Amino acid sequence: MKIDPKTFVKDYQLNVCIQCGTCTGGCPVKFRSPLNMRRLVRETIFTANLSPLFKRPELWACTTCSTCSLRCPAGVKNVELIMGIRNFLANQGEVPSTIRDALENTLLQGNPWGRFRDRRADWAKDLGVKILGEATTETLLYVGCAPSYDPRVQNVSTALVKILQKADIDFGILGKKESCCGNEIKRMGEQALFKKLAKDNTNLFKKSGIKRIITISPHCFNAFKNEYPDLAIPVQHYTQVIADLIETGKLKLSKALNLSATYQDPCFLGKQNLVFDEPRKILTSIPGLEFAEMERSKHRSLCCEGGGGRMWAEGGTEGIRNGEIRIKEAHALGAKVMATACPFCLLTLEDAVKISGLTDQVVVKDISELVVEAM
Amino acid sequence: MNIAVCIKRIPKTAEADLFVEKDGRDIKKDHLVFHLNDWDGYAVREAALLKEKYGGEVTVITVGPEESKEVLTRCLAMGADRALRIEEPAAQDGQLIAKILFQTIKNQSFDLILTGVQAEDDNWGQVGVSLAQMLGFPHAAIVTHIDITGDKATVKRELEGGIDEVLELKLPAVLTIQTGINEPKYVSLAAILDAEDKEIKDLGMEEVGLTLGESVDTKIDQVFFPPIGKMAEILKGSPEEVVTQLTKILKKKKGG
Amino acid sequence: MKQKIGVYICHCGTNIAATVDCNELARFAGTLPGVKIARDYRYLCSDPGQDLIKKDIRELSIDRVVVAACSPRMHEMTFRNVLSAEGLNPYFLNIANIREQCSWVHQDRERATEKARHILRAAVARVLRQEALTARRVGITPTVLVVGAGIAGIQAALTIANAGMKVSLVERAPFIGGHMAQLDKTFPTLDCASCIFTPKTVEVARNNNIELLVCSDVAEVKGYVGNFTVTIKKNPTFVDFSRCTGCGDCTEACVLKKGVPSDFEESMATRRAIYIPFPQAVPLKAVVDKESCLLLSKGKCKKSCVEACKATAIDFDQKEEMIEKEVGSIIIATGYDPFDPHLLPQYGYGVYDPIVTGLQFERLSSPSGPTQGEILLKDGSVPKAIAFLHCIGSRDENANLHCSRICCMASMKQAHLAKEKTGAEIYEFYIDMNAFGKGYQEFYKRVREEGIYFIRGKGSEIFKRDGRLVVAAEDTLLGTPIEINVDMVVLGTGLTARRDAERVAQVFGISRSADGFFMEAHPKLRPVATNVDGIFLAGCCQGPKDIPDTVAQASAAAAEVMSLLTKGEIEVEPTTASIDPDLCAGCKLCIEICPYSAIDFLEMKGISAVNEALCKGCGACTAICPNKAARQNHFTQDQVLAEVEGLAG
Repeated sequence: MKIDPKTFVKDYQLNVCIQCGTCTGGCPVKFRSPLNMRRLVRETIFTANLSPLFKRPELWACTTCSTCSLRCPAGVKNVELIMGIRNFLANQGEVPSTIRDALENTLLQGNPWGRFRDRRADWAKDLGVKILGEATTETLLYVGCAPSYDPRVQNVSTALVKILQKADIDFGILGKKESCCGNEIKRMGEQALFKKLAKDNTNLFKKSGIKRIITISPHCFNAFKNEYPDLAIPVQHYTQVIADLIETGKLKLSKALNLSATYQDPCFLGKQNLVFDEPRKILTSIPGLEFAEMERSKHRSLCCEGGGGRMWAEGGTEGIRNGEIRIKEAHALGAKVMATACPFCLLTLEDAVKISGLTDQVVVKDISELVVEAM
Repeated sequence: MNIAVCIKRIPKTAEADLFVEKDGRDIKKDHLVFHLNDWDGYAVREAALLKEKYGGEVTVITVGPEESKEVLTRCLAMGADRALRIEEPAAQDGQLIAKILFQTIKNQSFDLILTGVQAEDDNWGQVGVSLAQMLGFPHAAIVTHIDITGDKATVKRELEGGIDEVLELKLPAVLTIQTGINEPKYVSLAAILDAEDKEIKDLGMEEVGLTLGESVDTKIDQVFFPPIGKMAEILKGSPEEVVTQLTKILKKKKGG
Repeated sequence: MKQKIGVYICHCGTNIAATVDCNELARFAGTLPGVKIARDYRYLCSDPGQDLIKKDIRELSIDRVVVAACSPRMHEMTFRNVLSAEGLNPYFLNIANIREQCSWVHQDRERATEKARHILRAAVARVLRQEALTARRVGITPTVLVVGAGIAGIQAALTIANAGMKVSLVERAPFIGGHMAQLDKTFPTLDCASCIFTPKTVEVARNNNIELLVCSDVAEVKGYVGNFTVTIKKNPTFVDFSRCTGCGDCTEACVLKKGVPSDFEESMATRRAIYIPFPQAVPLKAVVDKESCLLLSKGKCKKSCVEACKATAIDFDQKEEMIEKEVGSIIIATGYDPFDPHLLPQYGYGVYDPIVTGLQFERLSSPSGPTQGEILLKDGSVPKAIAFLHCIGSRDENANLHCSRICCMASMKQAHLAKEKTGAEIYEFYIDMNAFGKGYQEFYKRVREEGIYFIRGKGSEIFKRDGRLVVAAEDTLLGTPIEINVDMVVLGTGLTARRDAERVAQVFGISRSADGFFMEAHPKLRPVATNVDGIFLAGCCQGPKDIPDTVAQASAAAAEVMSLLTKGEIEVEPTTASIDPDLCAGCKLCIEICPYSAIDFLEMKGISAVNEALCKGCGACTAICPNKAARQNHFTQDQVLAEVEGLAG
């Protein structure tokens, strides 16, 4: 499967670029890496020998937040170009070593962390959750890799199970049979592996007879909703589900939490899929929760740098991490809690709390965790 | 130069639930995930790099079941040109594997034969050196660097304490390859799918001049889980609590 | 009766001849029934080409002509005149389009020629069945309707009025002047907008030939060129203009002290329910906004305004009036709406107070505006740094694709004013500099000399950090990403078609271009005409343009109108429909389908009849009539079927 990079100009509409710089201007890593989207587009058009251009390490600093593609006035497919270049490199085996491991782990064990397949549903073993295949249900709670294996994020999965059970929703999980959704795999350049995951997962969902999918991670939400070619099953992010449960009175939040909180709009939920209101609806429904909005919110939310394979990348950026900027912003706002709805935001922001020395001042919580506390 | 690499398909056991077979001689493997032995991966990569530098052909050989074709395909995607599989006998030990490989290799003219230092599952570390003995070739084990000049190989061996031993061997030679000799390259699914079109030759025991019921010198008597020691104490609690407990225990043991 | 058809194949240089074998076509044409002579020629529309046809008519007694050439839209008129000049009825001409519909859309010579043969055969078969028709002459009502009284409408109205013709000038707002009235100074001369147009607005009010109707819309348009019947809806202002002196006492007295956002001030200030649009407004009269007026919307108010009015001009019983007028021609000059930056949330418009649109800046800078011409922030302080962002809502796949033409100049002008008034650091974030007009490049240089910073990079996002606004962009010339701290941002919002342009287009029966503005008849050669004869366009309703171009276009539209009206009468195509009273069964299907309401039902006779004056010859009734009673001149059943047979055969 040879990819000819000369096709990139046509595939990604590079010729329409007017070099206005909106892409670079809005890039979340513009000050942290030499990555310059605008220049990359022009260089791809005019450079004869593209190999050295594409081998530049800064191409792996991109978080695929997609701000560039979303804002481009000319219609250039910016972030798709990055993914295309990474695909070209991956097919030649030329990816950074940690990315290599993440991709190989996914092929072998169904998750980029390389954890054993059979351990995937261990977190749920005492929660009384239906496993599809052993029981039937129409609603699938698609857990995802980080929420399955990472001890911090397992709290989120547990919280969601408790919430759905409290609201009497009949649902199940795939258990050991669940494999990576492939969203980050695609963004790390493994298009072939993504296609395989999409095909296998779609077949698995169809065979399971499910009629609805709820995801924990906005990344999985994005993959199922926008990038799986044959998935005809409606998919929602859990914040959309909980917001609806609260609005229709099926979930009552009665315990007052008495804290001040702000919210980080995850790129894959917010600016890419325009789900802004539901998380806020949930937070403002929690009694005693004082909600404050950060300056850069909704469409202008600052990317936490967790996407685009960055969770498995080493280095390539310098200076203060965006996560730290966000935590400091929350702290300056007087918020004690930084709420989020994405496992990657959760992990990167928690790291940032430690780095910024604000461990006693700001705590990062997933919205589901706050809801459980208020139930 | 013509290089042969002997590889093995082994199961990954980290985090897996392990069960001993009824006969007590092996673990149950049906539910495990299999992959190319880590050391062998480095060996195949090294062979591909040597091929890039000095030209020639790389052949990968394995003794294993039908499922081993998976890892042979991966090796073909990594740069190997030919793949051979000899059907595995019912009972195996290091010597028998070496014998089978010897039978397969002896009539082919390879300049260099690489194996991994050991396999992740049994950790015997015997096959490479036994094969060298049977072939009558010079050998070096735990190799961390290879240079070829004409018909000589200059290699580095990893010793304890961070010391390297430098040897010169006359080719053909057998080298067992240590991990870290090179930076493994990513093998894309696209490359693997392309490699699936390449041919893998299957051979039976008879075809390499052996019988199905070849005898083995070593037999596994028993495989069992280590007994739970009486001295093991599991500390429970939050990291802070565990540290406090641990400190108390250490102080007590020290007599403080 | 043996017809003598002359067939003429045009090469059109190489336009046709390169793809279609004209020689062969001429030979083929000669074999068709009824054809007396068939020729091919390089440029039939030229004088010698036309003479060729004329000669044949004279010498060979040719009595029907087929011209195989370009689209009839090009030269149907030309060749009809050729027939008329030789005494033949011009409707004995038929054009076979072998250029736009053949040579220009195909590449295979053999197949294109074969297709041209079919087209020709169809054309010849049709012309055999064509009948002599006489064009109707209709009179032209010598009055004009101008819709919209911005600078375009004003200019057009004045030009026509000063030529001695009567104009009805209809304006939706309570004042005339449109967006220009909101501007402070204009580029590149820095003339004060109000100062330069006030003489014109005053003249409009004074001119006896102009009937000014403010607070009015056009509700319905019927008829055709030279004979339009328009219905104007005069909305009640609840103030008797003949008594109101514009003193403003009512406004002072209005109980709605909080007021509502003022449209004229672009929501930067409030106005009461009864208000005078602005101090120099023409007409200088108070009007009542029925939505915010407590008496009219809620039924309860102590009517302090009535009490305060010394001229007793307030009349809450005023009703809506529908006025019907006969006009000969219409000029549409309805202007533009500014782009709403709420649609691009990355700019934080509506989230942060100090982010304003171009028009809002004009109001700030204007001496009669909410800050008396000073550039101030909400807290009254003077900004120390201001950013001007170009191309907001223009040249953007996520908003409008078109360039709004004037915002580069407007932005630079505003930057100049801001620099002059505040001494602040000024940043212009641009992509390309559109300084195309007379004096514009010179102005660009002046602004650079004044020390305003030009950063080539589109503003990507605005957010607040440490109490100041930050513009995130890239300095593409240096190739470095930047974040600039400013106190105020002026968004160079583009021009878009009016929100209700679709409805207006339907009322007048005109089309819209892909960008939403009204469509001109031909992008190069007919920039003020529309696809409807007698209706013209002027100003930004046709596309974004600056004031000089608006005034020029308005004068052009006025010239077209005057050219039409001075003719006194006009020829109307006789290709109208008629209904055979003997065949009509009175089923009324034709009446239902007629888009121009041109068919009446004669109750007494129980049959339908076409009103020739309103009929536009679309053919719908002819197609739908089950009895074949409806028939269209020049498009009879015979003629059309013969053409179809010729094509298919």
